[in-house]
Amino acid sequence: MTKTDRHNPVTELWLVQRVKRSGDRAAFGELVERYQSPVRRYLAHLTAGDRFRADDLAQETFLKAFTAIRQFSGLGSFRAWLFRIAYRTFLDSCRSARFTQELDKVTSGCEMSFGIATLQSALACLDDTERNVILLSAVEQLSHSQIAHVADMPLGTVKSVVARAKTKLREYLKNEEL
Amino acid sequence: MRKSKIGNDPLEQLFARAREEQVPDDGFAQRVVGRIVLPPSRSSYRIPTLATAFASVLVIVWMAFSGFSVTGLAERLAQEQGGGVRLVPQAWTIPHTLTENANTPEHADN
Repeated sequence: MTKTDRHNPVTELWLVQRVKRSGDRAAFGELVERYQSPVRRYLAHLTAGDRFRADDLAQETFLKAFTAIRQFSGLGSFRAWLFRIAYRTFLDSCRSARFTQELDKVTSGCEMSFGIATLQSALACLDDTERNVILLSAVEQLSHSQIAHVADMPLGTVKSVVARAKTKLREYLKNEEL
Repeated sequence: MRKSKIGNDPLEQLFARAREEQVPDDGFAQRVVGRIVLPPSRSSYRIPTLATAFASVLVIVWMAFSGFSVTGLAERLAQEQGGGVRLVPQAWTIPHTLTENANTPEHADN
């Protein structure tokens, strides 16, 4: 698969159709290759940089996506649908393990650049919803309506949460500079 | 315009750096595909379904050509109830004398 094919929505739909029709593993493998990086990165940010936990959750996300791919209508974005599953998987894991995030403690064993580490500590000043929405908006570049779908929120709420989270992050960075 | 906005804003710079971060696959996709458990295919349900349908058709055809009737069977059972058809083993049946004794007032007092 060439680099242009990777970002071609028609190729993506064709791969989804192959998985839907016959449970084609090879086609699903190509979809995983295409989306593993954004999904793992998103989950790593949600889990405060815990790459091992993020990888487990990402694996679970893709397995759930394979099982439920018939429910994907093909009208919306596959990427947004995948992020919705990832977010649900993250929430489920938090509920089952009674996981409490300590975002100021960056998990050992994960290598993060200075910029990413700064972003992680900045994200710690946000609540769970704000963190999720700002990650989807500013890092994963999903549209507001796609975020509303992923996080099960009204569109207006998404817009106000994005604005509020950005204000909080700017204040945090300002205080850090001082 | 957008570039200069990112360049000046430290928050946008942070986001831009986070967007650039690529997580290497390192066999992740292969591991996921290897863990896929395929649900049973439709064809695996077909054989028992067809076998059941075939057996049902055979029974219906036999009933139609052998003159078998459900009402006739019920009448026959009613006629032979006196001992012709035993529904349970003999050892399981409760002797009439025992049940009669149990209903008498003397036994009931005890």
